[in-house]
Amino acid sequence: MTEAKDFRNFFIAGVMTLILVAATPTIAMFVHLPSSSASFSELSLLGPELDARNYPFNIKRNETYRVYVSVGNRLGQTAYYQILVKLRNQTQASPVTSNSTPSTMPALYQYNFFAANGDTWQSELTFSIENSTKQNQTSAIERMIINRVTVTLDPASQATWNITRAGFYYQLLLELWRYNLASEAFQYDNRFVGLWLNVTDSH
Amino acid sequence: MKPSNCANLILLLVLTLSTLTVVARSQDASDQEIATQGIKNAEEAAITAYKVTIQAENIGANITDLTSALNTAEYLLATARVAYNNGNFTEAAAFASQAKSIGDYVNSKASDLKASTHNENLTRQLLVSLGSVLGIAAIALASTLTWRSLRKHDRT
Repeated sequence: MTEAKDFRNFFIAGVMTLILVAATPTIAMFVHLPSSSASFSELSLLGPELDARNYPFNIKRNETYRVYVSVGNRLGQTAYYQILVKLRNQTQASPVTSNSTPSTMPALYQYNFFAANGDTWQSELTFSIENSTKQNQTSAIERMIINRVTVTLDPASQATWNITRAGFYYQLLLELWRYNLASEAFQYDNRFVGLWLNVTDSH
Repeated sequence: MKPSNCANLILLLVLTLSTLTVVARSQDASDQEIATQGIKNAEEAAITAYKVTIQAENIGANITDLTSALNTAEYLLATARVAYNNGNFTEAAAFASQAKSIGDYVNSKASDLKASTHNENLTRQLLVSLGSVLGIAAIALASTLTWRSLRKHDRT
């Protein structure tokens, strides 16, 4: 006949399991396991129909072009973002991803916004070239309008004639920066998108 | 009119115009200073509010409304910057002031939310801990009684 002492160890194990189950909610409040999901931000540029096509390329003077910029927050908490809009020619510095360095070009326009975790922020970006000149093999953009704000480029942004592609090319750069609570300043988030513009017909 | 009187009149006119120009310029400079300070204050208010909001979020508070309010403050700040760049310093100061008010409001709301969430968390922790302790005690008691009953059953 089976006696209670024969399954004593099983009994103790069962009781301990039940105690562990009862203690689990309390343990969970104080022990936080590190999250296995990666935290990151997304930056993207969409065309005028809010999809990845029909991006402006051949730019004419005084004509307004529209694209959309969006940022997705997958950081696990609300973030304070900044997007800097810059203009560069083919030889000027672009951001370097390998060492998280932003472009050294000055910002022409900036967006500041807050995005909750899991949210995607989106905004329109309209731009036009208001004043540009061409002299010999050099093009210069002196004034632009970005989101209805007139921006004077001082000094003017210049590009030389690209023989291979037969045109004057500039890149509209959008860099993503994020407010760092530790350093109490915005820091480049190592995300950027660029839109190449052929301004040959804008003179 | 005598030539000396005419000269005096011209001199008076020039002096008056110069004074008016200086006053207008100093007024402009003063407006610009006010707008600059206003934008700076609004930026600081937004950052302070963001810090408190993050603290509230980290302890589990729902900050959706606060994030939305912060974005309104940022929109007003952007409008203030545009007005400032266009030389509309009075308008810039007004927008910056509104942005600062929203920043201060968010700061205050986030502090309240942080405190209330902290209290709720403490109450919940207390209840959960109490539940666990009672649960463990009940299991221990039940298992002791069961074990004794089994042993007694074995003896008989």
